[in-house]
Amino acid sequence: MDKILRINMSADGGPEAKTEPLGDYAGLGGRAMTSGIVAKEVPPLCHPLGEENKLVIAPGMLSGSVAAMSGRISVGCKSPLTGGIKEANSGGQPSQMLGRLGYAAIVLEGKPQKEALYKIFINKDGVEIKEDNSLCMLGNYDLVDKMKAEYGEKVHCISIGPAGEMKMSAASVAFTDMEQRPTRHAGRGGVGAVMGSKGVKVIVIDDAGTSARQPADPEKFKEANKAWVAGLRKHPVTGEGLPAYGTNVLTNVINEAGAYPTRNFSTGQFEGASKISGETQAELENARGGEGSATHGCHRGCIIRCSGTFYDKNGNFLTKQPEYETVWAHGGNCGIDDLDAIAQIDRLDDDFGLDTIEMGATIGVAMEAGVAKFGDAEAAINLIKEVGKGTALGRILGNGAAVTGQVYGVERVPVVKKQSMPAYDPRAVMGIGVTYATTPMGADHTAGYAVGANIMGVGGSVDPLKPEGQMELARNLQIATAILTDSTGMCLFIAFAILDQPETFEALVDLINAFTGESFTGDDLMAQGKAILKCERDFNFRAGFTEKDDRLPEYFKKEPLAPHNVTFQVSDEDLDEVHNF
Amino acid sequence: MEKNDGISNLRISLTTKDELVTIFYQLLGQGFRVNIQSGCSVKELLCNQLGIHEDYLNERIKTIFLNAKVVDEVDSAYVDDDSVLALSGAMPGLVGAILRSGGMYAGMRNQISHTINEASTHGADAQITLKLWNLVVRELGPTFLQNGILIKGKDLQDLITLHLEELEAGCQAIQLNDKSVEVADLRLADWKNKMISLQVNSGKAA
Repeated sequence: MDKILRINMSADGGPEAKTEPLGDYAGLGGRAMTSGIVAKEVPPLCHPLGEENKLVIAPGMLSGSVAAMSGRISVGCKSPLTGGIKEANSGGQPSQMLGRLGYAAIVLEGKPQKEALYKIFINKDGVEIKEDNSLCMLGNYDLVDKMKAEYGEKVHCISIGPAGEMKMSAASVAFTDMEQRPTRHAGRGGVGAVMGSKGVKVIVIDDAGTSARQPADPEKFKEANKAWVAGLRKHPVTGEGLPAYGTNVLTNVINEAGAYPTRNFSTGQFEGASKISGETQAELENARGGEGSATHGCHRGCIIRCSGTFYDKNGNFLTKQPEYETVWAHGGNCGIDDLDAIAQIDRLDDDFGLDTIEMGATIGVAMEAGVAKFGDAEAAINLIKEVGKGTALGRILGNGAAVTGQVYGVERVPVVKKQSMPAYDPRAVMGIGVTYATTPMGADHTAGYAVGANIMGVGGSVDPLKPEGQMELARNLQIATAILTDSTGMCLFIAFAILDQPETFEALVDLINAFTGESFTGDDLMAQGKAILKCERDFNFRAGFTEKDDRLPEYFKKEPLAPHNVTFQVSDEDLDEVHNF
Repeated sequence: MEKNDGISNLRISLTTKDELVTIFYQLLGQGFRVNIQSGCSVKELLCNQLGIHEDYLNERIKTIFLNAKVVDEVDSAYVDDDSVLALSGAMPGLVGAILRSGGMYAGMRNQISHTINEASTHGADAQITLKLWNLVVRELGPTFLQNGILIKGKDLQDLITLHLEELEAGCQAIQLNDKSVEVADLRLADWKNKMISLQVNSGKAA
């Protein structure tokens, strides 16, 4: 990956593409690349949907190689949802393909001089940009079918649905999976709205005639990759639990802990949890059968295969296996215990191009406002359809929980920096609340992932039973996540094997070093992680954020959560210590 | 789950094809009643009373809840009459790691951690609710089902209604209090909140 593709949508005579060398961005991938470009090139006070904002799409550092699990891709910009810097990431095929084509990033800049929609085709011979207004308001599924008909059965797509075209703050960017379905999404923060503001409906990628990226030291790379795969396969989470049940295996456990946000975060246990648990879901999918039913990867090179394929009662493909966050958002958070209804909503979210977490949280707020009743699956489906159609109500909902709560006068709105919280109540698990509050991204469960601070050699003296220990853990986790998963292109779920098996962490470091020809140590990687967080936080401050934005909503401190009747008790002073490094 | 005398007058024994036994895992995940001697530690209960091997406890059961709180010390958490005990394998995600029994991130959920308790009774006949999930239900479920579990009649009937066709096709023998019956008979019986002693025989039990 030795070049950046910049597409100036404002150019006289229509959009203009040019490639340039990496320059200051050499060696960066994924989130390091997206945040690096956004922090340096986007004016922090610009309008997120204006011409000064940029949408950066960057494969991970190892994407395009044969390193297992390296197919994640990052999308970055100034977020229309939070008003701060944003990185959202996704699986799917395009990351590996862009890596093979040599692109370390695609940067969409400016804004078209006229109302028009564009499609961009990229292959080994170059880039072609065409106006195509026939794509207007197509859902992602129909759009991809049209692109397949036009460009062939081997291309893959990066696209937006109607929500992105309508520049909704909950709009996602879709990436096609191994079956050319638009089921993988960079969901968070409204990145799809920024793509829509650039007038780009779809980027079609064809990597025919390219080959895998070659490591600097092939022998060491091969050896490290072998150890890496072995480590992932032998760990009970990555080798057994995730393949068998997917991420939704968390439902029963989080519910038992009293940390399962139910009916818009009003209680911590859902009586219908077992009906929508990963165990029940896997049983249902296996019983219905079909290709890739309960165990399936989201991109080639994935060996964990935590996803699956959801077929309806008649055996027809409906959507990919909804993951834990989606099942919670559209399930327990809305009082719904019907897996078929949740899968239908997931399909609509993917087709319209919407973040499932944001939409589930938003419908929960709307239900609290009385727009629909908790537990009414049909009403929830209809609300999502309102969003897809762009009705007045739909446009409110499509701009997320914070806007919806404001419009309807709801106090219990579970957001940080206007981004909805995911599926863990921070009153029961306060450590996750620290991450929600302090990550530059807004409430985000992936920002401080379980990469062993002990293994990284920076948390050995931490006593997690003391408040300062929690702060330090949350900080170290955010730093490690920024570099080890979000920037390498590695799937987040490698974290468990790294956490528990020092030799697997070593294998990852060896893999990175053998590929890049560098000699990074754990400390070097942590330093890079710190640099990413610092630049993101600096952007947010320049955009007008202060420490007061690193807070949970007040009701989390005041309203006890059943069944444990706990509140969030981390002090503001402690929260401010997280970024004191 | 409602209290009962530990002895059910309704005994159902099913013999099924191996692949059908997974249908009953939902009952094990929702929670079933088990007769125990009270006042023992979680470890004593699991290993001595329920026959789970200590190596299995150490290596495969990674998160344990006692009355909805995470147990970090299996030797010093005591089980009483009517306790609810839940067993899980290793969980993904940051929160999965935080909820791990005795894990490094335990401090990040100290509000829901189980604190050391004293048993109120010792050695008395008691009954608890046990829940088995994910890898644990897959690995221990067939044996628990073969040994017999106590569940509400309504829960069993809901399950039968949901899987009627599969059960009708895959149940090789059904006995209700030692008399042969059909799947439909179980579904239509007036049990509601009565407790059922259910035994499921398949080739899957260890």
